[in-house]
Amino acid sequence: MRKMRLVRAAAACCLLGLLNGCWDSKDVDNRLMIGAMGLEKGSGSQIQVWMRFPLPKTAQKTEGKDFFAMSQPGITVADAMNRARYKLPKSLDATSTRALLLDDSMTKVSLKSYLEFAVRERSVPLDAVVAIVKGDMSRIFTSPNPTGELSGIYTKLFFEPYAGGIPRKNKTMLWEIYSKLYNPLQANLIPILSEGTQNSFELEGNAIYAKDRMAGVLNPDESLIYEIITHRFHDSEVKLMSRSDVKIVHNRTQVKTALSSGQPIIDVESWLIVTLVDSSQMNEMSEEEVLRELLEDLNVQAKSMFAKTQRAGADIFGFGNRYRSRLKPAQYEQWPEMFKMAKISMKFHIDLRNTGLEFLE
Amino acid sequence: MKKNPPSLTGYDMFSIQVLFFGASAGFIYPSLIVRSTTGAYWVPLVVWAAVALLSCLLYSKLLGRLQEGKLIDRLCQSAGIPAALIICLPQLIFIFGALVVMLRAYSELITMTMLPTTPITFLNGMLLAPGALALAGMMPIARAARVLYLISTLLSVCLMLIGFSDVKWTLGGPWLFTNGDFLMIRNFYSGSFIWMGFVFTALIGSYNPRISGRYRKSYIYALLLSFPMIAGFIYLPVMTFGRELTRHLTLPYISKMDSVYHYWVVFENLTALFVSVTMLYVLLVMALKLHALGESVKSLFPRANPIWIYGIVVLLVYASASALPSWRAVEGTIFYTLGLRLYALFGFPLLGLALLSVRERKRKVAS
Repeated sequence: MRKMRLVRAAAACCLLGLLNGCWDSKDVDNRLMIGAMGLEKGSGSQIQVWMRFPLPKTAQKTEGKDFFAMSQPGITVADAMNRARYKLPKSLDATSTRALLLDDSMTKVSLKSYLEFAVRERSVPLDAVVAIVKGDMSRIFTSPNPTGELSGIYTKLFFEPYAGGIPRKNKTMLWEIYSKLYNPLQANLIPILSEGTQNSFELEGNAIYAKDRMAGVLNPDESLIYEIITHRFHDSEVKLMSRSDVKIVHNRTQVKTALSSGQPIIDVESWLIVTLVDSSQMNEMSEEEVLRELLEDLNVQAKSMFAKTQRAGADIFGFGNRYRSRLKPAQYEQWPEMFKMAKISMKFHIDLRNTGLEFLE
Repeated sequence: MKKNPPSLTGYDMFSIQVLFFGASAGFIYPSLIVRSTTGAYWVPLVVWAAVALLSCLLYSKLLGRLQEGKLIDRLCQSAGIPAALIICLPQLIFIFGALVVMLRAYSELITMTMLPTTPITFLNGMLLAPGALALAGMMPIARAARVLYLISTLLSVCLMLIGFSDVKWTLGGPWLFTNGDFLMIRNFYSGSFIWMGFVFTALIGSYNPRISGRYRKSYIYALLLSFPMIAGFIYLPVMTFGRELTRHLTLPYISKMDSVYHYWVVFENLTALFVSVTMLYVLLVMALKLHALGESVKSLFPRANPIWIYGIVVLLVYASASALPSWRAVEGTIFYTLGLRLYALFGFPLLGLALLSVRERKRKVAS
């Protein structure tokens, strides 16, 4: 009996070992969590990493700011983050990074090697939003957000459909970019922001990537067609025309593909439901005229968008993925060249659901 | 007279088999299959499922020959302990290897995803819980399986459905093309371990022809239910990242969970949720494997104290898992134990059937 009691006591003592907690635990007040991270090409082969940390309320009293920003050069992002640790009193934590901003200079170098760290080590969340930024990174990272959001949250909200995101902004997450860098059948389209005068930044367009380098830019209107084709269009989007404005409230797109003598044939058909938002009282238009102008406008934008992407050999739409069963895996690498020769047609069907609370006589 | 051990109900067996698939398919398996072929991924899955079904039928036939008793006990009675030991030894080494790989792989998974500097030797200490459950007996394992099946499967299916919200079906192709290239790739053979849950349940509990039918049916139902889940573990990352990146990922489904983002999802870290659910599967399946190993050793060495048997097995598994130095070593162990797995699938039940047939014939001749 006594022996059994001793055994039980020993077992209980062993279980106490489980109460030690985890080796990796670091209290939240001993961490500096990155909200937004920026990558800028440094001198030579170096990279400049910008980091912006939200500060807790107690620190804001002494600093007068709700964030702390710093930059650090390094050979790789991981190297720069490691060197940043030389300067910081608390643990550097990138696992809460909400936004990754790439300086314009990063569009001229291969992105894959600079983003690898995030996937390999899970250091930066794969759902962080990514954008290219034109402007002074120092100013962007050290200026307070005019609308007051915490670091990182501001950029996240800028793109999120549930907040300030609109289809033209083309919210792109880190995993999307990284996976397309590996996929020979689909290219990247990354939003471009420029430093704003009234706000931190504003949308300029979207960068077309051929393999891992920037090869062109889609303007916001062309980006809208991209969103419609790729089923990324959400909520509604206003389309401004010369004499009236409409809101696209619903869309459905069908893509049909074929291969004829080695040439890809791609037919895209889109059904849009629109409502009238505004019509110029000076130049009165009928419903037919509104629809005709919208159709012309969309066709011009689509043509220009396809021309840009085909010229660059960058299939940002992922049409190539539809050929996975028709091409041999060894032929996948040839897709960018095949895409240049593809015959692409796009047809829009538009219904004007209503003209708002006022008839268009 | 020796009392017959209780037997598992059909639902117990079904729950255990589903948990076995859940424990094995979620972390190591997807990368093995994705790296095994350039064609449709479901083809290697169907090939192994068919092989496993064939093996399950063999086991069912073998268990149907028993008249209320444990398989290893009956083999010992038929052939004598030394001969039974020779037949069972590869089987026991196979179970031991499967335990070591599962423990080490799960510890490595935790290291790669959540606790990078926590010592593996500490993480391997999780073996204590399944060790205690295995020692408690078959019925506690069955009862735990019933509960965990409801909790874990529900959570796994929910996570999978959430994961489906941002996939592109066009990335999954080719859907029909296959040139059988996987037959030449070692990863295809390494992936055989996930289909073998029925091998462990055959070694525990009492069987007769009626229970053997239950055993067969429960595996078939579990396979039918789990097949879409196994395919989901493979196709979800592929339809998210594409084949090209998925081939480069060590744990594709973990990365898939990392990529999921929805405003309406309450849990920010779905990966942690997935790892926790997998832990439930893994703990129960390790208990099952330990129990199968412990009971087999007990049958072969009837005089040995069960506490000592389980204690030594747990210590050996812990030490072996701690001795594996890297993920590559885990993958290597999975591949190099293929022979043992094939023995467990076909060699053991065929030898067992032959032994029991010879014994029956002898008895008939004698009578």
